[in-house]
Amino acid sequence: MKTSRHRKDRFEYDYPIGLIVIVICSALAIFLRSRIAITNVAMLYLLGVIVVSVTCRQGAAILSALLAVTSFYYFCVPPWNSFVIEDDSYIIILVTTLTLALVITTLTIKIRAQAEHALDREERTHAMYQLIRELSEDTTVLDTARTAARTIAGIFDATVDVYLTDEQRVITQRAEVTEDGSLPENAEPLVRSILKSGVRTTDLFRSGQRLAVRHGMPLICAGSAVAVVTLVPDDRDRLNDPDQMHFLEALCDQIAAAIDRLRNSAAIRKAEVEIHAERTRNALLNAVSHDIKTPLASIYGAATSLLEEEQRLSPENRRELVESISDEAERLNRVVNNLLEMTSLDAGLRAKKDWRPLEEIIGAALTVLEKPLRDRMVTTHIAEDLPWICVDDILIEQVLVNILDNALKYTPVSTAIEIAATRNGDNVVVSVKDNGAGLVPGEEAHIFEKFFRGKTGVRGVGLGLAICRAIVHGHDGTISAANSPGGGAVIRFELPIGGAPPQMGVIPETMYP
Amino acid sequence: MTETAAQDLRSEILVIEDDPEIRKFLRTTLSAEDYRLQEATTAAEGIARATRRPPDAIVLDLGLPDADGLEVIRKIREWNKSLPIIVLSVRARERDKIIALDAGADDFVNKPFAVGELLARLRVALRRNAVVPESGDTNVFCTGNIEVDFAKRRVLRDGKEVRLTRTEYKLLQVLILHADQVLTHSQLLNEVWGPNCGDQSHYVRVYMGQLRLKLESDPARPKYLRTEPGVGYRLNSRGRDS
Repeated sequence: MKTSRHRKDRFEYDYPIGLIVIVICSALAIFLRSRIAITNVAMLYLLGVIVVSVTCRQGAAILSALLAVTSFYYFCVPPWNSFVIEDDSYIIILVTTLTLALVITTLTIKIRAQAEHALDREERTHAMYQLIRELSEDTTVLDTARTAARTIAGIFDATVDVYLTDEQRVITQRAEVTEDGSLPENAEPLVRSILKSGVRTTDLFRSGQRLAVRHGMPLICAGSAVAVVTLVPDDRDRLNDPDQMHFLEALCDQIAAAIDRLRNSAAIRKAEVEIHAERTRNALLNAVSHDIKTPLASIYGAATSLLEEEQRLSPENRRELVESISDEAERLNRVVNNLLEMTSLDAGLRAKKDWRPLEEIIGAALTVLEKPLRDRMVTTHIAEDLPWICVDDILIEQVLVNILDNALKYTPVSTAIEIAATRNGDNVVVSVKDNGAGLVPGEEAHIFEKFFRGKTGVRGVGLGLAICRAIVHGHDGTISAANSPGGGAVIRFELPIGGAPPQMGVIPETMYP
Repeated sequence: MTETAAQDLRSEILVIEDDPEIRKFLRTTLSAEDYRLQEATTAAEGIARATRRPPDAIVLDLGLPDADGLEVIRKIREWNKSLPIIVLSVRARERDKIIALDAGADDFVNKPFAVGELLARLRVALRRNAVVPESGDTNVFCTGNIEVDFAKRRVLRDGKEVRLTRTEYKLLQVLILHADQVLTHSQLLNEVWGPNCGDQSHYVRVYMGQLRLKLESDPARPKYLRTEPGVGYRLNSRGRDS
């Protein structure tokens, strides 16, 4: 609203302008009065009145109109340079001129006021629109407060602060000081009283040499004040105009609505997170109670059987029980490892990346599963041009172990597993293909979800592939599952190579022998 | 008479472990394998026992109630460089294992472990400590389809000669010297490239890859040159065996 200030500046000189215009008119009239008809001289004055009423304020315009008619009367109505009227017919000219001057002035001023009002309205609408648009882009309450402070400061030429509260009604944050960056006088008592009362309040304080006015506007959400906007206008009387005050209130309503919206969405998000956490907790409890207690039951059962029934068990029975204890313990160990892994991934432990040959990681994974893989046909195809990749080798090994473990669980013992690693641009692609029944259509994406278990009812906490996904994502990679055209499921993950591997040109050496 | 003489010949193992169930199961197993046993439940007790009557080997849990197991290793290594120490560790704590190994532990076993694994590690450690390598004994190393003749510096795979570079040969030699024992990257760097190599574990990986290409039938599933994830390498002298 900078233009309104310009208009005001212009009005500071409107009385002198009016006087000058009428003096010029009078000079011209004196020069022309002997040459043209008296009615034309009256027209000259009326022209002056129009000029003044277009450019000056109401008071100056009316005063100029009266002065014009008086000057006309004095200088141009014969006899010249006197207030005597020679002929009664001049009275008609005089009255008509006076009436015309006043009517022109009044109408011009009215029209101009309407135009100015329309302009003001347009500017306010524009400012309001601008504010709403900026507020809609803010994602935090503090950002909203900053936007509000900046906008209001620009509109009203004021120093603006926004004080925010939390649920306990304590002043928690203040948006940055705007405009010239100076700190406001202590406004806390005003802010506190507004927060308590929820009504607009104004106070006065001494700022340097002069007395300044501070307006405090409550921002009301759901019936209570959640924030306070204070503004100290450069021009003390700036907000005395009720129009301006209404405009400020309208702006504050918008800001309050924006803050309300953000608080609500934050509350909704929090609730969603809680629901999700609750669901995860339940799933974890189910998983733990089922997948940990089941092997424990086997172990405990077998062990007590060995203890109590020792005499009645055949050597074969005894061996079977001991084997089951060993197998179940191993299974339990894997379950616990996965739970631990997931916990540390959830806790946001960072990957310790370094350059590693992928071949070695695959080898290590196959070593971990050496026993369960003993009866399986496993083939590995590793591209010869495969570069080293920058990864956390322990974590990527875990990815492979979990994918292979999954393949072992869901496919018959007689079927083969194929591991392949190739380069794809700046990435390395690793795929593990089994030759089982494949994935249930529609489950492809779900198998990477925590605690997901396929309908086939094989035991497992359903954490293995979720861990894979978490690790691969932690390496900025992707992981997906699909059914192979030739039957069986393929799980493939793609990892960025991670830049240029270290140069390790092997120095030519003497050979033995 | 003969019995006491035989008893004296049995190796004595000091188990430093706070968990009574694990101690009990180690006691049963190790006794069955004809080892004599000392037990300690804290780091302080372990160090005291090891000092009073040095055992032939120590099985040490890293998580003790009164001090870190690493402290035990460091204290013992202050006065005894050769006493074999096998560390019981938890997987996913590779850093601890490396520190323990670099501090002087001979090997580690991941908890939970199969008895066979622990016994194998113990045997390797005891053997290394007992037998002073004689040049005659170690002239030829043989495992599976691999044969290394140190005198002639010849390496055979399936009876056919394999050509190795000087560094590859040295790496293989170090691994064979410590057969069945884990070696960290820094230990290998130190032994093969010398003490001033810093943290260039890439070298070890490059040359290990080359050795595998030359010696293993499936380099992605090595039989002999095994990776200990996050820790280092181990030469498996008996082919496939866990």
